[in-house]
Amino acid sequence: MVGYMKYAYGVLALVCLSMNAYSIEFEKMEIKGYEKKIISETQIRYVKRTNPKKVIHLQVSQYNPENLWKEETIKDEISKMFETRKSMYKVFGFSDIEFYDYKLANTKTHPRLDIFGSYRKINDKKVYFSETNIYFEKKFLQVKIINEAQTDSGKIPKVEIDNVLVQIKAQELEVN
Amino acid sequence: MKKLLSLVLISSLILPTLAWSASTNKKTCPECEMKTNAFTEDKIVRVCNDVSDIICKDVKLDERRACNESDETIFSKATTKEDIFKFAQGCFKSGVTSFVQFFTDFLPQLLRGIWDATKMAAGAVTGDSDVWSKLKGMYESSTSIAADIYEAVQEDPGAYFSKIWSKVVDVVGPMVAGYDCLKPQKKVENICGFIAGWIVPPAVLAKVLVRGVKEVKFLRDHGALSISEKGKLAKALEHAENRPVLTLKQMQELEKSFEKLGYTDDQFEFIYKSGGLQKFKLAELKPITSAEGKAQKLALLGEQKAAVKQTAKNPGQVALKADVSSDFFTTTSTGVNGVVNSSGQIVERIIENGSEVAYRVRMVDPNTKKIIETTFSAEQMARLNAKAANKETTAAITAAIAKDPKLKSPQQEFIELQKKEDARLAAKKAEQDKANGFEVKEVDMLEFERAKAAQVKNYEGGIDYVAEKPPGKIILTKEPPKKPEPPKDPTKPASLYESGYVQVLTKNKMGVTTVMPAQIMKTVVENNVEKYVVRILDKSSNTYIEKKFSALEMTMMRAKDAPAVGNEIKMFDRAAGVTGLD
Repeated sequence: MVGYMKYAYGVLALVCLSMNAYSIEFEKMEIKGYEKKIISETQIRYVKRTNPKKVIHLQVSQYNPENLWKEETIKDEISKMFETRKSMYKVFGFSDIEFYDYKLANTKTHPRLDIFGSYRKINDKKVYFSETNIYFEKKFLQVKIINEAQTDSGKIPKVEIDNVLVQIKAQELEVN
Repeated sequence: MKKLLSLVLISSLILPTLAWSASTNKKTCPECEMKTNAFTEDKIVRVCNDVSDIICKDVKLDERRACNESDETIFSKATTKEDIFKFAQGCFKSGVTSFVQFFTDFLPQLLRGIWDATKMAAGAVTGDSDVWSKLKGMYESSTSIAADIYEAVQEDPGAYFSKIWSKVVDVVGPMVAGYDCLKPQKKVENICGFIAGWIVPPAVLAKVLVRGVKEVKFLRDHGALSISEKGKLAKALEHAENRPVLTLKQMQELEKSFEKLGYTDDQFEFIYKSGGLQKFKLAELKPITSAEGKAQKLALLGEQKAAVKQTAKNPGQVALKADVSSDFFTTTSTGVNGVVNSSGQIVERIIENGSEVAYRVRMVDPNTKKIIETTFSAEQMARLNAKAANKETTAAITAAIAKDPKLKSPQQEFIELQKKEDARLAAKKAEQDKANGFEVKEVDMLEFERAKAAQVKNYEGGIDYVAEKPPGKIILTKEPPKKPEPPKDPTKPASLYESGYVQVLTKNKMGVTTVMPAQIMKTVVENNVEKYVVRILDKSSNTYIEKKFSALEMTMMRAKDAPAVGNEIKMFDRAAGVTGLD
């Protein structure tokens, strides 16, 4: 119990923190086939019209630019982050967290880290997610596709998140 | 250097929050700007777009909270406890009207509020460099999980709330579990009040952990939170009185120390919650494998065992009065007169979770030949094989008596003794009543029920005592109140005891079943069908109602609903001319 609390502190700090980033022009971001709802100045939620179990979250948060991912250490860092996230998920009632793939791309414009995984919700339903973090000067944009599905067919292919990034013109954004 | 780094990092975390808060005020909450100005001298920042705006939207502005992040005081210095209470009250009002919004919008906002607690916690661990190294990936993870939390909350706010908070706060656990999920409004009312107690002071989570009970008590003392005296929360509060106030760090250290001594986490939690930490100094405690340690463990956890024992006795137990016409048993015992058979009767059955766990019995003391009352456990009764013996013995007695009416069975002996005892007590009571100036009146069952209903409805009506079994006696005061006489029926049978009594069950629109005592008055023939005219006593209005039932309806009433009450059934059978019912 007390062990959980220690994690809860850190996690909640960052959850809260993530909500406090500066805003970008969310109003203009549309994704075809999805219905948009602006949750806050830093978060938008899109729900797929034909399948409400599939949603996309766009969030802007801050990070420490001096502490960005590096190719040579990414494997170890992802492994650490997985352990941390596992604990965080546990605190918030999720279980069976899995990362089944990740990819770091240091593009010319903005570095990008993709993570693909799954977890189970409190009602034991399995959720697949695909997450992309695009790093700007001081902030990063996170696009997360969440899909509730019972089989591996629910896994989200990379092309799908690429498609979303194209639609929102992620590389052209000026998040800072 | 570490301290400097920590300071920089903390600042980098705090400053955007403050900036955001300030900018949000101006953008979304013009009325709050006015409020902010009003507090300028106290440097109070009004936090808008926050929990109070969501759940307390119907609350007057001056009753809402303001926030001073710099000195960790959310209300202004002038804010009184009464102001805080008003805030909590406001939460109740608007929480009730927006249940889903409360959880979907409120929960994320609450997480934001916990930021304050985190700042404090971060300050406490600045020496731990590992914490900062973990920050890599924490931003992404927290952002990512925020989306997952949002979805989980959106899907089932109540379930998610329960799940998370039962994990996070021990005080909330029993509270959430204790409220009926079918009454979400009640849940909102209470939890909202509860939460108001947390967010009003600054160090939210830490405060709940260390001083949460204090907040609960505050709300309770102000009437904002109703706590059942026998509920888990009340017990938690009671235990909290004996609990030392510990910081998280102290708690963790203690937990580790107890673990080394051989205690489990659950046992440590119990010891802490039950005030056991004050029984021994930590240095005095020995490993539980040693003799002294075992004794200490027993002293620390003794209450845990007692609590379990206590629980087994209480919840769900129901005492059912036994059917007076059956449930005899016979037991054999060795007394001063050698081996004797003794007979008794089950008076009450104690039911728990649908099973009979004990029996209150009256029986003949084989030595004194007097009636005594005692309790048999289910095991004891099983040994007596009461039920089987009862049937067999009853049949055997009936057969034996049929052959020789002078024969006295143990049951007969018991019944006779019981009658004598009842008569003696009744005579004694009658004497007392007479001395006190009361008069005794013998009534039939319907009159008895009417009187009983009158007693319930109007205790001041003059009826002081009602006998236990109808037909029976009621004792009236010298000057009984004048009440309208029940309608007289010329067809009423000559003898009260020759008519058929039944019990009619009625259901109202809400599905509530009421048992109404009734009496068969006569039979009539309508369209070549024989019908029974039944007089029913409506207890609610204390009046008689007459209804006609066909033979079939009577049979159904008898078979389905009407409880068998001694010889009344026999009378009914005879009156109805129906055979083979029993």
